[in-house]
Amino acid sequence: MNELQWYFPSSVAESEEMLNIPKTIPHGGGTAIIRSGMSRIEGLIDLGRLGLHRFAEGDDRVQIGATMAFSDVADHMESLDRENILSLALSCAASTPLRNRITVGGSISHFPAWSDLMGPLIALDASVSVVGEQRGTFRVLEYATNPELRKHTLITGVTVDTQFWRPYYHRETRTSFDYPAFTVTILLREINDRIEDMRIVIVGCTGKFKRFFKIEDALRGKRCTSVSVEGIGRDLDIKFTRKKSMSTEYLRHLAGVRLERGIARILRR
Amino acid sequence: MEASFRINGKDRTISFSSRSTLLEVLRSQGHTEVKEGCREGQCGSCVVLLDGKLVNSCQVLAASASEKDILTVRGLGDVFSPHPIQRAFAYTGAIQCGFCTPGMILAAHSLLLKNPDPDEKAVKRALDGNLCRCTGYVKIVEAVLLAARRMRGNE
Amino acid sequence: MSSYINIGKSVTKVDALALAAGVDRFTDDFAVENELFCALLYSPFAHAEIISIDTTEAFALSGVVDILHYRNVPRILHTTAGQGFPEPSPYDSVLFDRKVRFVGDRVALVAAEDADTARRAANAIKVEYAPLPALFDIEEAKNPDSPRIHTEDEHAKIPVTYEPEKNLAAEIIMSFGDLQKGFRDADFTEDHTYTTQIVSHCAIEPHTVRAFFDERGRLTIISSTQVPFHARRIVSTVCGIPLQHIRVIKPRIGGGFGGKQEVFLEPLVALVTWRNRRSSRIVLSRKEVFVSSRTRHAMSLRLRTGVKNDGRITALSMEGRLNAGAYGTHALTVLSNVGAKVLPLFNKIEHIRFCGESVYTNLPVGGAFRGYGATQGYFAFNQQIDMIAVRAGLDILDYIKKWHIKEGETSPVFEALGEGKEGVQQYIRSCKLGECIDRGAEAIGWHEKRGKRTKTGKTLVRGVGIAVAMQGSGIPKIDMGSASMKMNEDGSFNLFVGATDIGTGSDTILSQIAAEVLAVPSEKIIVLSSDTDLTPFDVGAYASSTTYISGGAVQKCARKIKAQILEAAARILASESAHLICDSGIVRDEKTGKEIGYADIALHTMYSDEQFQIQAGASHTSPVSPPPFIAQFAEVEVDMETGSLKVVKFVSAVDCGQPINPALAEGQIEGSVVQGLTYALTEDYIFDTRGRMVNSRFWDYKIFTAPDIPEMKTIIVRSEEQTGPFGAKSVGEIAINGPAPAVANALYDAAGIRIFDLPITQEKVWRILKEERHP
Repeated sequence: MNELQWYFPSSVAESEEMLNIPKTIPHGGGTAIIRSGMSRIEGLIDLGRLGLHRFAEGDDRVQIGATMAFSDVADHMESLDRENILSLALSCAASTPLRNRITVGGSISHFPAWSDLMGPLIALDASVSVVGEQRGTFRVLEYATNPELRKHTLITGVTVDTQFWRPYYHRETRTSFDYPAFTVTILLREINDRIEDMRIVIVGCTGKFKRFFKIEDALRGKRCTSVSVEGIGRDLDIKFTRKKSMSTEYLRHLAGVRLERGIARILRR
Repeated sequence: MEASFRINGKDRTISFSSRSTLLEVLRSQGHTEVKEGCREGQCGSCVVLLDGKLVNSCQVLAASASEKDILTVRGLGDVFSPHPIQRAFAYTGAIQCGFCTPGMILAAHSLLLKNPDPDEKAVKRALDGNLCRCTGYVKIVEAVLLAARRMRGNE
Repeated sequence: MSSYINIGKSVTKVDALALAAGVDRFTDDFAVENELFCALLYSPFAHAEIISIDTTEAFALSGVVDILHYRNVPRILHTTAGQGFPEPSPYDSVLFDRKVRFVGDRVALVAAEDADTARRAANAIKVEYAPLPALFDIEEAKNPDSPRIHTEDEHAKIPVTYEPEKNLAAEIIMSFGDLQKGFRDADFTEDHTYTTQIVSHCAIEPHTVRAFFDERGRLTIISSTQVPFHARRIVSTVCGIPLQHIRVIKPRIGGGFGGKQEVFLEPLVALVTWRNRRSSRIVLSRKEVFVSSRTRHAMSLRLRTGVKNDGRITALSMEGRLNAGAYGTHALTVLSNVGAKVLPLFNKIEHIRFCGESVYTNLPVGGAFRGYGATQGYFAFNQQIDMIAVRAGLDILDYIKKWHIKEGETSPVFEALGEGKEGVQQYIRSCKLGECIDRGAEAIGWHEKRGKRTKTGKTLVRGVGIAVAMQGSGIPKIDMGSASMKMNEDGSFNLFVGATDIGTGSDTILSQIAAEVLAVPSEKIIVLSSDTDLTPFDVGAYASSTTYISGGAVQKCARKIKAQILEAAARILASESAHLICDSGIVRDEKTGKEIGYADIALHTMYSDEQFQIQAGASHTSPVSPPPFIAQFAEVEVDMETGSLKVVKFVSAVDCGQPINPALAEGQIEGSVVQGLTYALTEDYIFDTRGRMVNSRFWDYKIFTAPDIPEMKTIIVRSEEQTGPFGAKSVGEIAINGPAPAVANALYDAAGIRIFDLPITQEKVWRILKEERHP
């Protein structure tokens, strides 16, 4: 294999030019790149000197730089608000040393089916800032589903609303350090015992993720203490491709159970 | 390519392949205390502290670690003056084959830097990326708790 | 057994600090100059003939020095099993063959100047295969229509059943009494088939071998091996290198668990070095360890027990089929152990039949793995007796206490089932299983929890289960260990043992034994082990032999040293030897009060008059293999809606005789338990339809990390085994036998369902619960 060409741009503008170099991609923590194999890559644009390792609080939102690692984000978010979905999800992703290395930008751009980040970001309706062939701020959902946005582009950061949501997070694993078969993210906004708003996202199913708009709509406006949750997860409208150790039938059943329990738990039932 | 690294407090300029991982570079420089167990970031026997953060060195491309501070277990102590964590591991029987030990000790060190008074759950959490097949983890957890107590002056 | 100064003390391991400091060396850590890197090419087919191998493109890469394959290496049939000679495993392996027998079987080896070039060159070798039909199902193996996997001159070295034309790697038939009568006498029969899966040892250090010539042209091999002496012998035979030109050194090893009781890489690296006059190295990747090293044999075991209403078992039939994989290493002996370690436990069964087969398949190769057949057998046995107790309305603890083998008793199985040959009769001299059961039951809270199906949540229910086991301590009349010692002029001693410390701490406990005999603290003993040039012979670390056999040799040797010390002291003090005792590094005349320190004795014998070196050597074997006993208890919590199973608490109570070093003994138990729990719950080899393992990484082959372990308690129950050094037996394997059946029995206690095949995954539990609700 030929030598890998390393680039160390010191500004975002400089890095943008490099995005058009053939077989050359951005490098944050590198974990996803090493995992997927480097034989076809000829150049890496190291993002370490771009100043993207930052965390800025604004009114009702935070801006998370793309090279922030999961553990950094989890720590920062926890110091803002003990119970928030991002710190819940990111603090149990992968393992301690991997959480120190997996970057927000890298995780969004690769969007693996076992991602612990994407469920929360989709549920929060976060937005990503992108430079390169496409520029601008896009909803994370749009970024994830539009391949044009991912060609010769670089994520510089993520913006997340910090208005209060009560969070629930579940990752379906066999052992503590395991990639989840799926994750369940539920957010609840409750006012005076009424469900003002709810977000329900499962990541890891066919199509990579699903947001349960129908269930959200059915629950919106109802009373937290009295709405019936029983059976809400039964025959869940979701498909899975077979994982190595679990059948599609079982995964579907399990997802339904976890979703139902999550809703019950978040409603404090 | 060539780059400089600060390894256990010493600045070194090293030539290495652009595709090398930090693990490969460290071992080629004689840092055999950083072990290779799986090359996929799953066993934790290759962990080092990179700019103070515990990372799997097999999952770090060496070039991206240039100019950075790297701590291996040899940087904590040696057989003549061991670090309290190293002493505690030896004392409790937390070391059987010893292959996971450097990684475990660094994971413990990383924890105690942030949290000098962890409970058992926090200790286990901090070690969640380090595999051990010999000990069943019981005495390793004891060792970390003992080291923490001793370092706080409670024992 | 008054007060020992070393025995029963949790002395710090002699290598602990060096390992904690990261300076003690494992095989890959030595600096060797000018080394070639070896990379292997493996078969993508489960079963195929090699039509041609074209290495032109591979050799064209700069830096490629040698390529080995079937056309250019000696074809010497052997077994890779690290066993005593003549080995009881069939001679069915060669370095490289014209046929490949599983996905992952070796095709060629490239030696190159660097690892990257070696791997690229391996991939550049052009191999033409003629695929053959493959066999994966052990039930089909003996069918006349099934593919034959070994069809040439493979043979058994000792007179045992070996019928490769039937894909039979081994067969054992043993029976006592009249089975039919036994079943006729029974009031009811329990008949169940249990299956266990293929798993990997997962030693964190992958297999690594180095070879180089010393200054005088002798071949030195450094290897992460459990069996340095067997390695030397097998390398010599297979490579055609005179044994005296070979030195094998075992440095620190990162775990073995049986996976390194195998000599399959050393001959390759030795041959590369020998042919090219260059040092060479091979380090297996984790994937290669999973697929192409060795595994635990998967097994199907049918257990039929005829039982009277009062619980007496009148007839027991055990029919086992072991999946040997593509080669028959350890296939006979593991099979034999399924019966040999399980059947004697309930020694009052009059009519017994054990009928076992090991069959070849085109799958990864089974080998030695902690427990060695007992683990598979006890998964079946412990569930069966649990079912018997339930059906007969008996308390399982009382049931086991009533029927297990006791001190003073024997079993005809001991003599009938050896390791390939006949076994050895023995009487149990030490057995505290009853106390193990009582103390373990108390620690788990058995009486508060058993049969209660305690609910701990809307869908969560708990239960407890027990499993018991015995193992062995060395292979009787076969395993041998040796030690030699010399005294230094400061009253310290060098101890040389062939015994192999694979992380178990044997260097430490052997020094404790020597020190105790010599009445000095163990720091006075300097241990050097496992170097075929410097240390005397030892079979190696397997069969739980190190404490009992190697320790026996050390004890004998130390006694000889002590005798020389006393004799010299008698001369120097002009005392009568009958009045002399050793105490704290001093020899004292109890009659006159005169005394002399060890240092002075050594100085005198070395320099003054009638000079000689106080030194000795000794070997030890044993005609018996006194079993340790264990009772293990699991408390599990089952989620009735999802099937997920959590082990909440696990207790082990073991009788290993006198523990030489309690912390190290506990460490063996704790490690075995966690290894046994993942065997029970999460580990499995998943294959595609072509026989390729698809989960050959830790990413999707799951073992526990620290947050996964249950609350664990280890209880050591003391017994005195007269035949063992200071009363010791063994503890290295036994605790891996209980977790799977204890968890299975606890699952039944909690949820009323039984799982007969491992691993007990949450989906399996869910399916059975679902069927029970909606049959």
